[in-house]
Amino acid sequence: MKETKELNLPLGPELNKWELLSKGEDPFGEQMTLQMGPQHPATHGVLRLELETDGEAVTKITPYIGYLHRCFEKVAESVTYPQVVPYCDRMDYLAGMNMCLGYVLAVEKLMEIEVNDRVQTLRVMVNELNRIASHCVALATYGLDIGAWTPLLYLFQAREHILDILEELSGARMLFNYIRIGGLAKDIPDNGWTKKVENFLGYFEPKIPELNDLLSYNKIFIERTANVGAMSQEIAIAYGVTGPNLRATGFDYDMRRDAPYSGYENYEFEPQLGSGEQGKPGDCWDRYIVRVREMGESMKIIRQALDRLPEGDVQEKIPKNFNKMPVGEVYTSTEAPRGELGIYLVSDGTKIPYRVKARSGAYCSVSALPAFASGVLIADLVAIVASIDIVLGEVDR
Amino acid sequence: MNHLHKYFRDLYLGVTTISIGMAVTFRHLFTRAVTVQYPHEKLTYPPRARTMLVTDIDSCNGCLQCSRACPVEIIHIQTVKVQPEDNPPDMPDGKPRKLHVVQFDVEMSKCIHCGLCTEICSTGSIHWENQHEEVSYARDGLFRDWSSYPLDERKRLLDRDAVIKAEKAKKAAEAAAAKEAAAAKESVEKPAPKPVESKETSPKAESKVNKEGETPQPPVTENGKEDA
Repeated sequence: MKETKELNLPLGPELNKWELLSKGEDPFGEQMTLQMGPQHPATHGVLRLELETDGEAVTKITPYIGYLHRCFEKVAESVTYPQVVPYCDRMDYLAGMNMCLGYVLAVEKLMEIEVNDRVQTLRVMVNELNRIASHCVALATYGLDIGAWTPLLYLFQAREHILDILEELSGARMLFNYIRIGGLAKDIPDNGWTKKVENFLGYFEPKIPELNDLLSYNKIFIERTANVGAMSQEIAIAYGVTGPNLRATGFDYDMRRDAPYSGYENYEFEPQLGSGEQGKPGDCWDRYIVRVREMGESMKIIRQALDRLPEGDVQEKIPKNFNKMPVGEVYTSTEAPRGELGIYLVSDGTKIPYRVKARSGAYCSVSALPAFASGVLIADLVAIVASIDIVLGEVDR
Repeated sequence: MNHLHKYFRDLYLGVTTISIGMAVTFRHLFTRAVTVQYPHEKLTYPPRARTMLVTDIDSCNGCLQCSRACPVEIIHIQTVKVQPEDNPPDMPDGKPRKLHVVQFDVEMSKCIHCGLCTEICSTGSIHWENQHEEVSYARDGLFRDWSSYPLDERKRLLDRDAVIKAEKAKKAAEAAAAKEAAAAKESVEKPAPKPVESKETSPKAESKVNKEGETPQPPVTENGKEDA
């Protein structure tokens, strides 16, 4: 009561402030600019979000990117076609195989190389393994941002198995440089590599229900994520959001099924859609559960690939030096774990690409952030940023 | 009533779902540890692991393929043609050596471990070896100089090579000039088209000589086949 009395006093400047407030301005300095990042632990790398806050509510979000810019596109203009492949790994470092495949398919389309069935099957297999590993990190760090520490331990344990398998195959744990123009770097090792993949699938099968017990249907987790940051289909399509984030809104679109590449048309799998099971369609929980279910689908694909793995040579005949490249431009799009990876390649006939443009899914997800996440609480924003699963390496490239 | 129902339902769900999660954690108490205590225990690496580049300089034939394949240009190689008086040791496969590798430097700290150099090497000279624990405070600490020649010997060979190349270039230029002169004499009777200066041809000759010095050895592919 005392406060209102004081404020009601007809003191000149104070009165003006109240008038200003009624006009929607901010005379008392309640609005604040908050810098979230670039070193914020919940922004998954070096993303900076400039937030306009009104108390605890976020009124405006402005993402600033570029802190992890490695000039992939410019570097690709100065090295030869095969030398670009190691740089592709470094775009989305959690899913190097998927990045390499996108670029290699573009070069193969340009050179009109057809790879044999064994190469295609092995490519699909390592891609899906890498997708599971990538989703493991996405879900683990999501739990970590929300406050669940334990899932991280178990999911990284599973990811470690995949990395061991891929290391034995390619020689590296993250930056594989395994998928090459016209084939693969090496054939699978002799000492029962496929058996190891089978063992992994047997090990990972019960891990998904365990994750559901641990985190997915946890009441606290649902309270934090359901009905939070719902992305509508219109916004998702307008901003070009693809991958699990788009499927979480209920839009049925998967490059692997709709525009098959590398022999994906031979596999049976179901793109997983969000349905608003715990809240609205396209909310954080939907984005989370779509990834969990996608891991199961990836396992299905790996099983089918293991069953049909044909014999053959893993490297097609390609020109030894790339001096006589066809002149022209190609665009390929593949389904990476974070959305559609598009590679636009222009060739002027020399052994160095004239232009390589990479279109990444994570970049579009970040750009949609101001559109669907404004007006939430700061604590919810952490949940939203983590749920769109961005890797800044892929955003900046 | 509805609110009360929701309140108790939330309570119930909160308790049960958390206990389910706790049960999962509890079960994991009795599983084996997956981590190792690093400095005391070490994991083994698969044979294909890409760790540190090592060069077996005796088997290197100086073909420069690894240097050209490197996307970050960290392999610096200089070669000098073997002269009859040198009498160097033969290659490990018994073939005579054609080039002295007087410089084979690898800046390991800039290496991106892509493995393109080791794949293209026809003699298996540059390869990965399991030495992942090499660290250094300065960038020089990971600089690798694999050439087996002492420093003064390198300088002597390079100087000698420069002299030989210069002589060759001179001879080629002279030959070209003589040719020009002969051609000019012939064309004196006819109306001369336009006298071509000898300078224009001499760089060509020089570049040819340079190329000769660097050309990869012809038995490269044969070696590969024999190894396989």
